[in-house]
Amino acid sequence: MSGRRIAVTGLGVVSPVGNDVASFWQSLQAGRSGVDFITAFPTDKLRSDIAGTVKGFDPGRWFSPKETEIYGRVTQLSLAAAFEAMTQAGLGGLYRADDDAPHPEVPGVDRTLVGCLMSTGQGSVEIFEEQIARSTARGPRAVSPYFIPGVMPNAGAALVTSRFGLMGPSFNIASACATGTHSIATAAMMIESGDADVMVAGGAEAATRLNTVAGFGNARALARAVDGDPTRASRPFDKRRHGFVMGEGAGALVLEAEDHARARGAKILAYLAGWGFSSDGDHLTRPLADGAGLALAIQRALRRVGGDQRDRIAYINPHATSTLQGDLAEYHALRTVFGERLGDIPVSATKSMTGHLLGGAGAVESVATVCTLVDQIIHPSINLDEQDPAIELRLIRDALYGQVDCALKVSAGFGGHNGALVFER
Amino acid sequence: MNPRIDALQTFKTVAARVDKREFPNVTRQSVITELGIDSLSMMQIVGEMETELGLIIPDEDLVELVTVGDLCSKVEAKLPA
Repeated sequence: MSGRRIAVTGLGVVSPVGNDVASFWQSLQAGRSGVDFITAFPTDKLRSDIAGTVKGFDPGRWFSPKETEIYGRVTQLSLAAAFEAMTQAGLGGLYRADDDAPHPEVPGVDRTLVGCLMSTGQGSVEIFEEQIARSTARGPRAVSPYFIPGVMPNAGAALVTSRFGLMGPSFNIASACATGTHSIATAAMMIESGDADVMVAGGAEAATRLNTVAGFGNARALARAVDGDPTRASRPFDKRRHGFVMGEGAGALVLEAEDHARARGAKILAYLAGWGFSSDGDHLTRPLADGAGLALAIQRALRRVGGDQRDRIAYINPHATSTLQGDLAEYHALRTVFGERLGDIPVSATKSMTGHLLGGAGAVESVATVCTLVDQIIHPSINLDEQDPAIELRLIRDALYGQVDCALKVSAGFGGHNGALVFER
Repeated sequence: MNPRIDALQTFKTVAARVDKREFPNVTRQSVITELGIDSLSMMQIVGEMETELGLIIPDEDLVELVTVGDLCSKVEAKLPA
């Protein structure tokens, strides 16, 4: 463990179960699902017709009509989540609404050492669809000059840095469903190495479009409504699980060197004590059946905290895709790491309510994990009508109050990309 | 010059659609940057006018566009007689 301890000083969320941290966290505790039927496009020829959709997000709060067209939805959600996190961290004063105004300053903060890793796995899919359709209908001259800056996955990081005047490191990490977790871990490394004092980091996705639902659906990866009820489709670790539900949203954490946070009097919500990366090194989409790759990431995260930290983990927020293979592989990974003690550790899956936020999942679920540490409440896992007997996890069905000093967040992405985070209070 | 096509009016219509705001007081003498139209938006307007009017303005004609009239002249030169 190096000298700089990484504090969490801000959280932000836009999600299918709430467009700020307070409402998101309340929904999770109440076990409320944000999954519903898709209404934005015709679904009659698709293999799934449900998704976790962000409701009531108003781009006009952030963007002019012209900007609303330039920035894809994923970029817009990224900014909103980053804004909430930065505001909670006491850094909202850096925000500049007018592109031509000088950048405001916040005392005790060097903007050249504040960076951003707000990432997305897929980028602005709808802009791709729209511009390709334009080109097909009217020829390549009709393609917007904003196509590339709009569709690029790093548009979110670019927008956040320009609105807040951040001049530290910024880029996009794309590792499919591990994107958010990898971004948070990498941001911590930037702070640890001294490349930044503060990083706003996380992930976002808003890729629920006709062609992506077709792609995931044709890969037989998506769940359908259960007995006509879309809220019952995302059912991690349940016997009747049959795929994931696409979700959209964004999660952001402000990570900050502890000494920096203390010097400016910022409230510390939790600490990011460890992080680990690994790869399956095996297959494009199928996880290793024994979870060996994922286990490595968890072990590395725990090792980074120092000493044997396994006994300290009092809550696990799993990846929990709700696919047959994914959930089983994850169970084996956890079993490999924790052995017999696994049965004692409370586990609950945020995805059971939000659906799978893909590139945003790890970040939004990290927000939930930090909320657990702050409030000492574990949110339930829903749709556990009959737990898969092959998966011996201590899954929490009703909100649980109890002491949680140290928690583990796990993510795994298409491509065999694994990541794990250890948060403590 | 094709009398049936009013290049200035086409510019106003296309610019309003592209920039999502009205341009009521634009004349041929208006300086493009002073209208708050940046270089990418300008290229978007050019592309829209090209596809709408069915013409192509070569890149070398786009180098010295200062006023709206500069663009209108390039468009008018390409319109079928």
